[in-house]
Amino acid sequence: MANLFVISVLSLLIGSGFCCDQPSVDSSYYTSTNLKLGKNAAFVVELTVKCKNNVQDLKLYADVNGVQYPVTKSPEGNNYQVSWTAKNKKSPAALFDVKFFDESGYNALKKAARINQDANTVKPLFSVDVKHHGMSSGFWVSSELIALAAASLIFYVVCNERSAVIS
Amino acid sequence: MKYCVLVLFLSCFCVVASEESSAKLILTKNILNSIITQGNDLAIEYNMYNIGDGVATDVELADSTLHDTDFELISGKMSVKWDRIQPGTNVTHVVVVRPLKSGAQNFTSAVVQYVASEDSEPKFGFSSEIGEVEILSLKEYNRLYAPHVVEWGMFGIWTIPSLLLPYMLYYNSKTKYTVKSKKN
Repeated sequence: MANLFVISVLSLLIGSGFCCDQPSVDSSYYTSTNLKLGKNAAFVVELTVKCKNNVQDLKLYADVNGVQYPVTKSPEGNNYQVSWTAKNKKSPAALFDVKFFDESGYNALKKAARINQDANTVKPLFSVDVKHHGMSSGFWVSSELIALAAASLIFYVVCNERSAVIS
Repeated sequence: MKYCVLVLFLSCFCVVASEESSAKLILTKNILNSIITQGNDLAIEYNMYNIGDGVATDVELADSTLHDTDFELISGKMSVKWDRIQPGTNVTHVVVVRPLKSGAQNFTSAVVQYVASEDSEPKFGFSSEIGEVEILSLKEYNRLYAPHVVEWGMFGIWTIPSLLLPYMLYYNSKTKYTVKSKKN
């Protein structure tokens, strides 16, 4: 009986244009990878969402590793963006599973956090994978170190030969 | 009777006064990079804090100070909107651009427009200014931070004659000496 009620309310909402039915998502992302420019990393996910029932102006929330961020919308079109930063630490390579929730999903997520329920029980509207390659400052060994190692090796070989000659 | 009416009127006034809550947004704009160079990514972060006691609705952030002639947009949108920002919370927005020119660049404020309380006119606010920042040219950046592999390679090649020549002399004399000792 309760299930029937929920299904009827949901279908009413989808029909009235509040819920997004079968969203198709086109996404792109950016992550900071150049450590020489600074330790602060920026992560930006941009997406275009098209709903089968043509719902515009979705109110979305993104969940990244248990932290929720409101998703911004551009004034024209169905373009959305969520961004976050990691400051003062070198961000290691990671695969972020960014889950997107609508208003009802977000409220369910907050309720689950309040009653100490597992957040994975709340199903997201859709999710986007963000692959962060890690921050690096070029090759892991600097060219100066290689030059120093080569010079030291030549010096060692020459010294050995010299001591062999002298003795 | 008159006293009751007066008390009733004052209590209504108090109730009305306490229900007026208004949002106040503070916008800060700062650069995430430690080094800003021409041809390399520059991440700019916008932080919006609602220090008022009401919900800010129809919040629109627009930054028109990063012109197409000076900056290439890599990721993020310059103009975005949030539906609501709860009191005592903050939101973040990041834009990644690539400077096309080197030299001194003045980073000025972004603008935010929001509705502070129900049925009120939209308010405007300006972000903090970053001010004048020196953008390193690509040549200068490479001089300081590039791996210089080619330069080290050339150096290695130029030291070969000064190393090889004495070594050849030594090797020749060594082989002659070794041949002599075998004879002995």
